[in-house]
Amino acid sequence: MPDALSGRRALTVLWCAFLAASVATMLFFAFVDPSPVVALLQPTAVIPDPTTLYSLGFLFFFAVCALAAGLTAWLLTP
Amino acid sequence: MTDSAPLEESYYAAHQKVYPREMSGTFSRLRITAAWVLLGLFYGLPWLRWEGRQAILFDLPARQFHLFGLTLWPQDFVFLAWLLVIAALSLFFFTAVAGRLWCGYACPQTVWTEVFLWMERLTEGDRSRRMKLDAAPWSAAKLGRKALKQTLWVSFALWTGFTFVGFFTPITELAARLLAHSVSGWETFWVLFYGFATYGNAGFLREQVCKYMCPYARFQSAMFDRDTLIISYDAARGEPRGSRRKGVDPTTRGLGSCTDCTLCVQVCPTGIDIRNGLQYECIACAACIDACDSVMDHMGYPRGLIRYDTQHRLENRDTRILRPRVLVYGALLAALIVGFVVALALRQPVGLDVLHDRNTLYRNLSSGEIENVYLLKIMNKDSRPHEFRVTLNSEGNDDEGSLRHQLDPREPKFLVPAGEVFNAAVRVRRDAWNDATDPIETDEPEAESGVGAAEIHFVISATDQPGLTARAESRFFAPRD
Repeated sequence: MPDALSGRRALTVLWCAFLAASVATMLFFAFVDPSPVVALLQPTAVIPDPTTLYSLGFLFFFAVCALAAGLTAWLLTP
Repeated sequence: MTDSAPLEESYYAAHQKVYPREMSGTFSRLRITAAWVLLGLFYGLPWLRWEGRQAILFDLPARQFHLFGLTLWPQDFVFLAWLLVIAALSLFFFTAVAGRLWCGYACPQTVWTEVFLWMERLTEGDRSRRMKLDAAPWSAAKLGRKALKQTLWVSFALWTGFTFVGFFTPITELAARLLAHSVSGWETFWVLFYGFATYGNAGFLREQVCKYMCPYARFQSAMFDRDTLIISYDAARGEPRGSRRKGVDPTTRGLGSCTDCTLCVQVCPTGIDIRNGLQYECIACAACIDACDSVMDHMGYPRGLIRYDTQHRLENRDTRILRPRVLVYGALLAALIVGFVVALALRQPVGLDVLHDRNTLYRNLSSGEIENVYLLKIMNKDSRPHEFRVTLNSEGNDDEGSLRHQLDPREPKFLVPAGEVFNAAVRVRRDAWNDATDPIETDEPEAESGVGAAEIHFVISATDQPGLTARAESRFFAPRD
């Protein structure tokens, strides 16, 4: 398989994961307020503000979606 | 097995860079106007102020979306979902009527590619110069032009990223922090992330986004029928194509109107030949119409060899604009929009949640009465402060409980600032429990443990605006003897 093609596969996987993660992030945080979590973790200062939690939330969904899309692409490879 | 298997034939063709040629004309002017308006909105809106704050701000930390005078809370999520459904259905409707209008004029991918192409022309010259420059060996002049282009691209992309973050965090403060070099880590990350996406999509990927990445491009054909306006080449008139000098009557040479000048191919941002018919790569930007019209004008032929038209008209049949597909999309869209406007107009910008005090179920007062304490969460979603009066079940005396339960003090009032949640503790008193008059709710877990529970309703109403009310129910607990 030419390198450019697998490069495009990787980008397709990341792109689809990005779209799905955006939707997941929006739906999740529409119903979950991060501020109590931030307040709970305040002493440890792991998550200093809601923006951090929103960002980490998105990156988490991005990673999980990329895993699913990547596995799908890999298993479908003849 | 040692002998090597025959190499599988690859269907993969390396991507050919597309060098769109600049073209002026009616549709090009329309496209540039649309780009100016849309980019103006994107870069300008975050700076607009409204009633003392940013007019459009998606304030994620505070979980409030400000749209001019309107403030949407997480409880209003249904409005956002509703709006997205309206947007999707509008896309279907306009696609069914006039093809890929969205792709050609309004899609951010098209608009930003347009700007990046303009910068490319500014620094590297027109189409043939750009092709020559790319083919030429590296020189100081080439390096200079490329460096200049990259500087413009990167600056514009970073500005785009900054503006994007400015929709989520107050942009004036963000700009001030930027000048003071104290932008937070995540803000920097998102500026760079979005800037990089802009640079990659508009600078390099361009038409490949439409061809390989866009889901809409894949399913838009489902909305098409033979009465949809598409960019079409009139093959009956144009063929057989062939070059000829100006002034030569094509019929004497056995030719159609197409001079085979290939201008329509050169201007195409996705690098296709519209004369091959409708293709999914076509984003309906109408650049080829402008190109062909200019040639037709030059040759003295009537315009419209390439034009917006329907398949039916090209086949010399009647075209109907009002057809079941359009009527269904249109009716659904109208109903959704009317519903949205009505729901938004009727939306009460106030909310109430009641929590019973967690620590003490009830208190026996020296007067013999029982007291319960509640925490009222009063949400003022309006854009101005209101004073709210708290009452118990003020709407008629349908529930006898309203006579027995009393607030202490009788009518507490709380001033709640605009867009804030106010936590107010209120006390409710009543006489001792009486099994004869108080219904026992057996589904209460406390019912068997000597505690009676009665349902009570809290009502808040704005003192300055009688219609502005909200209610919530809770329970009053009292010992049973």
